[in-house]
Amino acid sequence: MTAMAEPQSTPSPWSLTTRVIVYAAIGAALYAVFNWISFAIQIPGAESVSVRPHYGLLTFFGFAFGPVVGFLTGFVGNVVGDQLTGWGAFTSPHWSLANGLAGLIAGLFPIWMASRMTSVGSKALTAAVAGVVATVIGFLVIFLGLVLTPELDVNTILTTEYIPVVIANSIAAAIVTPILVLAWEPISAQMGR
Amino acid sequence: MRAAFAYLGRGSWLARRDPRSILLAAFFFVLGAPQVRDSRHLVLILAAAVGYYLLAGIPWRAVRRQWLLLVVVIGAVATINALITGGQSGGFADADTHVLLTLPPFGTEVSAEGISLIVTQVLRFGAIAAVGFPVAYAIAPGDLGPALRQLRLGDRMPVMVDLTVRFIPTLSTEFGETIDAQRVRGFDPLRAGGSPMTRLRRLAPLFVPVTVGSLTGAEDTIDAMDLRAFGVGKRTWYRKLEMDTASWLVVGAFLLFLFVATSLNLSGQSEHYLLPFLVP
Amino acid sequence: MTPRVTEPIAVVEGLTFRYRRGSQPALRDIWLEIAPGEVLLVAGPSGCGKSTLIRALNGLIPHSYHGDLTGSVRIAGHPTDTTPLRGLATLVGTVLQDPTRQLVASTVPAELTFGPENLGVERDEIGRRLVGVAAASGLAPLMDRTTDELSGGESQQVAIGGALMLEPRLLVLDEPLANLDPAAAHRLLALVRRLADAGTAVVIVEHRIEDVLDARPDRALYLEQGATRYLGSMDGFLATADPTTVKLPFYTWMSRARAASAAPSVPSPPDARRPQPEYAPPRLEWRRVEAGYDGRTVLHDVSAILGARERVAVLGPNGSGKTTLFKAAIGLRPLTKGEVLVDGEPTVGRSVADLAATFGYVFQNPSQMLFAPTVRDELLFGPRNLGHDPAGFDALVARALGRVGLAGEPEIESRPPRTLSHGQQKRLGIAVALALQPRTLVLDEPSAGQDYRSATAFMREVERIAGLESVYFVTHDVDLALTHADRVLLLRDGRIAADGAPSEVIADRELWRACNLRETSLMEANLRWGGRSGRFLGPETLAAMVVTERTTPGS
Ligand SMILES: Nc1ncnc2c1ncn2[C@@H]1O[C@H](COP(=O)(O)OP(=O)(O)OP(=O)(O)O)[C@@H](O)[C@H]1O
Ligand SMILES: Nc1ncnc2c1ncn2[C@@H]1O[C@H](COP(=O)(O)OP(=O)(O)OP(=O)(O)O)[C@@H](O)[C@H]1O
Ligand SMILES: [Mg+2]
Ligand SMILES: [Mg+2]
Repeated sequence: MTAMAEPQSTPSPWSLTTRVIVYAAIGAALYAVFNWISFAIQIPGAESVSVRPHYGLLTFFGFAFGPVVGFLTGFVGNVVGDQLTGWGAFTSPHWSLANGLAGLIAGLFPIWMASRMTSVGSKALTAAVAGVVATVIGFLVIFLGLVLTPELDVNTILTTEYIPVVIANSIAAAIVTPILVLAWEPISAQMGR
Repeated sequence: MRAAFAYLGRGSWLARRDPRSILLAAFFFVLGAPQVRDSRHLVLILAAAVGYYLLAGIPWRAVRRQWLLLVVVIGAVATINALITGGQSGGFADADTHVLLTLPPFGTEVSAEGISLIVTQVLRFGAIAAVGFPVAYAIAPGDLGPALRQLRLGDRMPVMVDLTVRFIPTLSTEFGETIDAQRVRGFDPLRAGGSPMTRLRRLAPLFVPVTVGSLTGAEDTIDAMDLRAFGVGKRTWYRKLEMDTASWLVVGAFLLFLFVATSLNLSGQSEHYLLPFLVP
Repeated sequence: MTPRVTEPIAVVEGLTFRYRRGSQPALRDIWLEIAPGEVLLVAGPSGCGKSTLIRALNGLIPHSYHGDLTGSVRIAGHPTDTTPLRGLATLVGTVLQDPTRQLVASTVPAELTFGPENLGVERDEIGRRLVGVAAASGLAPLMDRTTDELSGGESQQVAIGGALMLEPRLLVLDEPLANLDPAAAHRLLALVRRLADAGTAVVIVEHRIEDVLDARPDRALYLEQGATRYLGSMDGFLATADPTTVKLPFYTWMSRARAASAAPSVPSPPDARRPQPEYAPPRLEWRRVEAGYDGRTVLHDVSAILGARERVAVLGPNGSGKTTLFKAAIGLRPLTKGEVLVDGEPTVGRSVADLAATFGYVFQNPSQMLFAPTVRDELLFGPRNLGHDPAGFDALVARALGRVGLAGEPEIESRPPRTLSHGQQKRLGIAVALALQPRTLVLDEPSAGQDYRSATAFMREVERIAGLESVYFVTHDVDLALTHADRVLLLRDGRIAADGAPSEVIADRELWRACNLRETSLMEANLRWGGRSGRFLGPETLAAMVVTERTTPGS
């Protein structure tokens, strides 16, 4: 008999396939490990201005493997990462949520922009834009801190948390995401199943 | 340096409890603690939290450095917050603040209220961290998945979390290998200086190989799972966790705390406390 | 030898498969029947389609890898293309090459139960199997370990256990021996044999054929470019296979050599062109060195001196500290005691990169350092970090690529390094080291993951590299070590167990075995006939010599 094994109709970007789970797990683990290492070699307190390459990793995983992988990488990665550094898995749930949302939003761009990403260059550019937009929107969630830390007010969160972190993360996203996209592109093209 | 969830609390009283109780305890506590504003209450809560922490029997040597970093970070964060708001936030809003001194260059005011708020936050975060530690160190490796499963998180998410925890030591070892390989080529991972952009670009030799390498390796992991029929249907969980009385007691205690904290908060009986000895 | 006459467990009929992204078929018209209790060895050069055949047997093709498939594969009568993976999972158990990637649970018991859990097997039934498998595959001592603590050999053992938990009737193993020390490999193969005797059919892909003989394979399948070159009895295979492409026992070389000796030309031994080693002056010296990883001491009181014009092989069990030994030497691991001297000077205060200019260090897995967009940038990363003069870069790149035989590749300089084949990446790893113009090359597992021909050619090329004074290499391949080294260092539990010329070191067989090393046929043959030359000869050379000197061979 002869069988032309068709590439199965690409599953919805929201389904939890084995591939999604493995990529998400690896993304989350990498995110936690990178975060842990930059924490270990970091000047304490300088958190907000520190260089955070792991954040760009998160937006890359979202952008390259879809919203679900992006969300899980950010959310689980941050929960596990906070646990690893001793800060505590649930100590700042809104930060985990923010990271998750950022990854998720970054993962939506390829779906919206599929038509625009004709060349590798345009893809890298889209990735950078996606990373920044995802950060700016996703991290609005940290204003939940008003509830979780009553000592804070909107103004404080804005000036001491939202703005500095969004700036630091946007830089990381804008630089790291395209680098990883460009590095991964040729390899994935070769590996595909 | 190798990142991993060491099972440091092995054999301790808390480690013998059902991991679900440890997870729920931390969860309830994080919901409850922020509702407590009075630093006098928080002192008691911190004491209780430390007591709970000690039940996990985590050797001090192993986590000393972590605690140190935490205290510094918490202190710094709280201080910055307080200085920015100058005590004008939280329960002290629109109270006329008792300024102790003003700092150059911006003439930032250091007020009794501000310091009170710092103390409050340090106490609270310290307590939260103490209750959080056992999650990392008193849950047996491999029990996290079943625990999440029995907390009704479905079949796949627990496996995903388990997989994440399982990959952390592997990836951090590979990360170390990559750092070594690049140092041999004259690369200095700790080199400072330059704008954030340049510093990020300079780190590419570390995060590119580790990321790409783990993604190519993922193909094997995916095959290994597909070949053992992962995700094809309802899953059995061989490891079955039992809540014993003591575990219920732990959950009960933290639930009670959440209840008390919430009711005090709603009835407005938990306001910020201005440390009297600070008032000139 | 002959498989029992029963229903075949696997039937492959006219199988041809081309990967969706592949230019030509990876498998061409394969016909194969596998009987219960049979052990089938699958061999062939890298890229010949071995892994693809494995994927076709376990159903990943066509369920997970897509492409053009013609012909059919039936497992116990079930066509793989219409039977879902969950159905095939209970029939075929698979063990992949990379031990760290295929273990998906945090603990050994969780890893073992993973399969049956996914299939919704009853808990007490899983418990029953757990006990059985643990006993059958000798996993009992590992049951309380976490998977990240396992050594390479233990990981493979657990992976097999995980496959057995589904009680498969066919077990397929893809290069299970890569990176295992000979003793670990032997244990693994003994387990395979036991399973076969218990009725499980086994397909094992392996380059290390002499080792695989421990599992007493019933038949061999030899592939080239996806097509069957040989399928039949093991004896027939040993008699006909080309000993330069797969690693065969020495006596097979003898028969070939006898045939060849009729022909006029006897291959001139490459070994003969080797200059006699000069041991002095010392290049690298460890003085009572102690080193390890955060708190855990791995090297204990190690003292040794390696010459500047020496080829030294370091052998030892998995985890004995071979890699750590050289990492400590170039400053990648801090010394807790003792000191390291390079060219007579203590290395304290010298940077890693500085030392790397003396020692070109090639890691066990070179791809874990490849990051640059192009091969050229990859090669120049080191020189740029060390502020070398850009004027010489073009020449530098050309020379480095030329020396590892990559210069011929089309547009090699502009290719993304990670898109090179595994073997090419390994060569690139050396080129990267050579770009810093070292005088000594340190190779960690040069042969791992390469087929026999590439591995041996690889070592010969390295020895020919101009301007290279010495080569120190870590390996599990006994023959590679004995034939390419003037000196052998045996490491055991982080201590130097022996140090000397190959012939001296292997004299103590007790120690040899205690270091998890095996007595290979080539080693025996060298002792028997190669004695006069003092140095160990490669199989080709030795066989030719023996035959031409009409020494009566007796295999
Ligand atoms: N996913 C894939 N997509 C496209 N081509 C592939 C894929 N996997 C393998 N190939 C190609 O199919 C051929 C056979 O590959 P395969 O991995 O089966 O060889 P192998 O005998 O296992 O080699 P090795 O001994 O190096 O593992 C090779 O030319 C390879 O480049
Ligand atoms: N990054 C690391 N962190 C902690 N321990 C390590 C690390 N790398 C190696 N080890 C441990 O140090 C010991 C020696 O490791 P090493 O890699 O030197 O052994 P090896 O002889 O090279 O083994 P193999 O033949 O498997 O490569 C092993 O027990 C290993 O578990
Ligand atoms: Mg293969
Ligand atoms: Mg090694």
